[in-house]
This record gives sequence, C-alpha cells and structure tokens, in this order.
Amino acid sequence: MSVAFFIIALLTLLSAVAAMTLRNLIHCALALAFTFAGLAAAYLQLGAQFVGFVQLLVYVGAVAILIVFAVLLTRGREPATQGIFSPKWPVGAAVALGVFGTLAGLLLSSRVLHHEAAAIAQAPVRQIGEQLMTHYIVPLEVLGVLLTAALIGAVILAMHERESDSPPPSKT
Amino acid sequence: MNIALLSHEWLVLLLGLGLLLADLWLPPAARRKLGYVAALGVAAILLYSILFVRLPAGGVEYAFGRMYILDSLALFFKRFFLLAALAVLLMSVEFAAEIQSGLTEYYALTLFALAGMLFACSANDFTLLFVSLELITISFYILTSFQRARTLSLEAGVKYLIIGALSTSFTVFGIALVYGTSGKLNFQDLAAVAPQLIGNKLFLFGLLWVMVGLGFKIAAFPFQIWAPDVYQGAPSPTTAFLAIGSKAAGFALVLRVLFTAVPAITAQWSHLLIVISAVTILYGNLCALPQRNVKRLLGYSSIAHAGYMLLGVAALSAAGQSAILYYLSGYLFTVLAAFTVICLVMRHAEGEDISRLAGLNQRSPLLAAAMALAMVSLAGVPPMAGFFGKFLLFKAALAQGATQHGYYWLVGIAILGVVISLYYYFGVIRAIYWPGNAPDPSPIPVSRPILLSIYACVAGMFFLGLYPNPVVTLTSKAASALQAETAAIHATATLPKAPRAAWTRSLLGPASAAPSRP
Repeated sequence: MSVAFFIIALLTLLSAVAAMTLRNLIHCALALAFTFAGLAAAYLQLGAQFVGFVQLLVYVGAVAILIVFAVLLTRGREPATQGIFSPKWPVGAAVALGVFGTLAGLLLSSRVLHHEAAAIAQAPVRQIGEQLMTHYIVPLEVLGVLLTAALIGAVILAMHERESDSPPPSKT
Repeated sequence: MNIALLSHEWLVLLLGLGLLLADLWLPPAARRKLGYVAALGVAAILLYSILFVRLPAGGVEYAFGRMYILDSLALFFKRFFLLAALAVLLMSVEFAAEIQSGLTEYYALTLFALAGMLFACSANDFTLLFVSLELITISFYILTSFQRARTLSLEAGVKYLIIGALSTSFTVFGIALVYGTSGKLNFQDLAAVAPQLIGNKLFLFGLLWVMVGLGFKIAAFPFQIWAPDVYQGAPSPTTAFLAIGSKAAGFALVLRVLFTAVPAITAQWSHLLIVISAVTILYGNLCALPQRNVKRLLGYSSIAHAGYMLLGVAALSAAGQSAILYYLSGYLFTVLAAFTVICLVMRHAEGEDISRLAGLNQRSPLLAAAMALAMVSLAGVPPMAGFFGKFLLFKAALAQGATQHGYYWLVGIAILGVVISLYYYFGVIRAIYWPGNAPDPSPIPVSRPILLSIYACVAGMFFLGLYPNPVVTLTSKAASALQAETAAIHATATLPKAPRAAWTRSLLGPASAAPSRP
C-alpha cells in the first residue's frame, strides 16, 4: 500500500461524501464524476490498465454526462427546502451497515485472502488493442455499423416533425 | 484471409451508406424512388451471389481466425436474406406515404438489418454471433417505432426494446458462462471440449441462456410475448422483415450453435426441444383463434410456425435440419405475399381489422387471390409450399420416433395445431370472398414492381409445393455442410484428445479436467 493509494482513496471517499451532502444537484454530479475518476486512478495504480481506462471512458465520460443532462432536463430551478437527513435515516444507515458487514465478512472469510496472489494474466491495453485490430476486427467493424444505426435511429426518433415536407430543409 | 469472402456484407453496407449520402443531394420529392435504387442494388448483389460466388473444393472457407465461416449453409441463408430484403424494400416504397420523415433512413436501416443477418449466418464464434444479433435487433428497434405519429408503433417499439434488452442480457451472461467454463468462443474449439463439460452445470446454464436470446429472435414459447404486439404496431414492411428475416437469422444461429458448437449436449436436450416445440405450436395456434387484427393474427401464427420449425431442430437429424431450411423457403414467399397485400390494402386504414379485407375480390382480384393462396399455404394445404414443408418436418420427426416415443406425441400435437389453424386462416379467406359490403369499393392501384413481386411470391409458393426436388437438393446440401463440419470436428477432436487428457490429468489432477481460462 503506497502513499499514492491512500491519497487517491481519501480523495475518492471525500468526493463521495460531498456528492451525498452537497445541496446543489450540479455540484453533486461534479463530485460524483470526481469519485468515478478517483476509482479509475485506483485501478490504474493497481496495474489494471484496461479496467481503469474503461472506467474513465464509461463512467467519467458517459455516465457523468448523462447524469448532468438528466439533471438539467428534468429539474425545476427551485432550491431544495428539506434537510439533508430524511426522517428515516436510521433505517438507511442500518441497511448500509448490513451490506458493508456482509461484504466484509464474506471477503475476510473467503479463501482468496489466504492464497498467495497468483500471477494475474496481464492484459495490457496494447495487447487488447492488437487483438481488436487483428482477430476481432470483424466484430469491431460490425459494432461500428451498429453504432451508426443506433445514432441514425436516435436522431430519427428524437427529431421534431417538420411542419411540411415541401420546402427543402437546409442540411448544413 | 480473403476479403472477397465478405463481399455480400460489404456490398450491402456500401449500398446503405450510399443511400444515406444520396439523400443529401436529392430533392425531397425524389427520395421515395431511392427505395427502387436500394431494391435494384440488392437484386444486383443477389445476382452477383448466384452467378459469381462459388465455394472452394472443400465446401467451406474461414476468415479472420475462423471467426467467419462461408459454407453452403451460410450461402443459402445469404441468398435467402437478400431475396427477402428485395421484396421488403419494394413494399417499403409502396408504404412511403405513411412515413412522415426519414424515408431514406428507413431504407438504409433495413439494409443495415440485412447486413446484420448476413453476418449472423456466417458467425462461427460467439463474439460475431452476439455482435451481429445486436445489429439486427437494434436496427429493428428503430424500424419498429418509425411511425412516430402512431401510438401503436411507439408502443411496439418500447415493448420490443425492453424485452429485447432483457434477452440480450441473458445472451451475454450465457456467453460469459460458456467462456468462463470452457475458455473457448469459437464453435469448433467449443465442440472439441464440449463432451468433457456435459456434467458442468455452469456450462449448461450458459448454453441455455444463449438459447434464451435466440428463442427471443425466433419467438419460441416462453420468449414469444413480444411478437403479437410488435407485429401489430410496426410498419407493415418492417413486420414482414421481422417475420421472415429476423426469424430465419435466429434459426441459422440456433442450427449453428446446437449442431456445430455443442452437438454432444444437443443430443441430450431432445426432451427439452420436444416440449418447447409442442407448447409453441399450441400457444401460437390457440391464441390466434380469437384475433380480429390481421397483423396480430399473423404474429400469433408466426409463433406457431416457429414451433413447427423447432420440430425439425428437435428431430436432431440432417433430414430435420434440411426440412427447416425448406420450410423457411416456403414461409418466405408466403409471408411476403401476405404482407404485401396487407400493406397495399390497409395503407390508409386506421386499424388492420379483418373486416377491411371485405370485398377485396371485387377491388382487386389479383390481391385477393394472392392473399387467399398465402393463407392456404400457411395452413399447410396441398399443393402449396406450406404443405410440403410441414410434410418434410413431420417425416423427419417420425423417423426418430423409434428411438423415443415423444416424437409421436409431438407430431400428433403438430397435426392438431394444423387443424386448429385451418379455422383462423379460412376466416381470412372468408372475409375476402364473402359478399359483404366493402368499406371502400374503389379499386386498388398496384404498381408494376409490386405486381412483379406478388407474381414471384405466388410462383414460389406453387413451385415449392409442386416441384420440391430442386430446392430439397439445395437444402439437404446446405444442411449436410452442418453435418460435415460436425464430423470433421469429431475426427480432429478425438484423435489428439486421449493423450492430451491423460497429460492434463497427471499434471493437474482430476478436478481440473474442465479447462478454466486459457
């Protein structure tokens, strides 16, 4: 356990707490994005390159943006009036503690901890990229077509119906 | 590695992208005609395929690390899908007035779905299987909800999306379990290790969940719930493509997975397949009885037909597989004829109630005859294609009856299903010819390309019913490719297995006979 790990863990936990307690939803979303980034940093620091970059791309890149959009599109502008703690917070705390206890108990009792860590099959990003570009090139290309189809579909389904089809629309 | 092997796929993709580009420069009035361009392009690719694409001497060719396979089965399905897409595109041009915006995209997405089907029938690896299956499904999500002004169309799209996403997650989970227990994704590699994994529950669950995803595509019994709603709500050309293309792609993959990847395990699943087939037949036919909406009725009938074809899968024989291909060929012409008529007659109508067909005989004798013949063929009355297809399927199942009596019961239930189906198919014919008051007595204009398509479908129905020999030769050759590959796998798998197994056991102990990760 290096110092870097503790710094990353501390920042991740702090931003998670911030995401929970801040009053402005946009601030919460930003804090959550920071938490995701912190997790990605933890993965990278542990040597899991691929998981780290996927975490960055998917969570920081896509999920956080999605949350911000959802907040912007759905929320009225009124500030929150209730307190942070809901009246039933002891129940929530109990559930959270229960989950934590179960997971911790299972992890501590499992045989994984007593094993000497086997040499994990290293799958660095470079190797994954090479495989994608050689062996898995056909599925990769098909995925490209799939994303094109999905993009066209999203535009078609979300597009506003034109008033009339007769005037040619400017396609610039 | 030969790029020419994938010529069908990339030609279709180029055509689709070309259409999207052409849309930018064409005036809106000319866009409807792009459908004819698309249909012509597909016809040209079909012609190219028949005239120039030849299999090598061995009958099978692989590409990209054996991920992609081109054998007579794949080639059969490729031509099948191109033919289906051709008729569907012609139908779409007739339907163009109903699509408010994005007409070119409608054609292009149909072509993308077609490309997905072309990839699917050549998949020799779970990766390509999943990706091509998703390309088909996602294109269909959009095509289904294309008429955004109609609530029914949107509702169908949402239902298809939710149930499709659920079944996709089952497929992914299943593939993950199969890979986790066997360490293989390639079908031939899997066939080599599958016999050792017969007792592995995780592996069996994985395969079962892959079958859930494929069962969704073919609308087999526990996964059929989406079919009637989606068939009813989707635009008619989409419904036709869904009924024939998507279902055939599902069957192509079912055949590949069950008989190439895990033949050893399929042999033990005959009870499961018999039960699913019987329940699917009964469910489809019984639920179709009270239907008044023609498209919904055809939705239930398509479930029943999936059941008949599963009978060929359950037979576990080359004759059964060949019969499925034959049945699909007949189903192609029949369903396309029926949906072309529905598309023309009910273009401007609000609902597709059977009563809208009343007086069709006076309005257009040709359409009336085509629809009636299609219903007769679906019901399986001689001399139409549907009769001979069912005959071949039942024969294949009866041939296995000596080993297991369940097959006799299955054929009995299937015949019962045929008898039930006569009632609702002839209800449609009665509506067409019964002298009732037609809601709209004006004659129906039929354009020349559609006329050609209808004639071709009717000719196909009669040809397959009266002169089955040429197509039976074709389908049994395609099905034999499946057998030959299985045999080849067994030949290569059994030879080096004995020394390797012994070596593994001595090194790792008996517990690790099942390989985990590579």
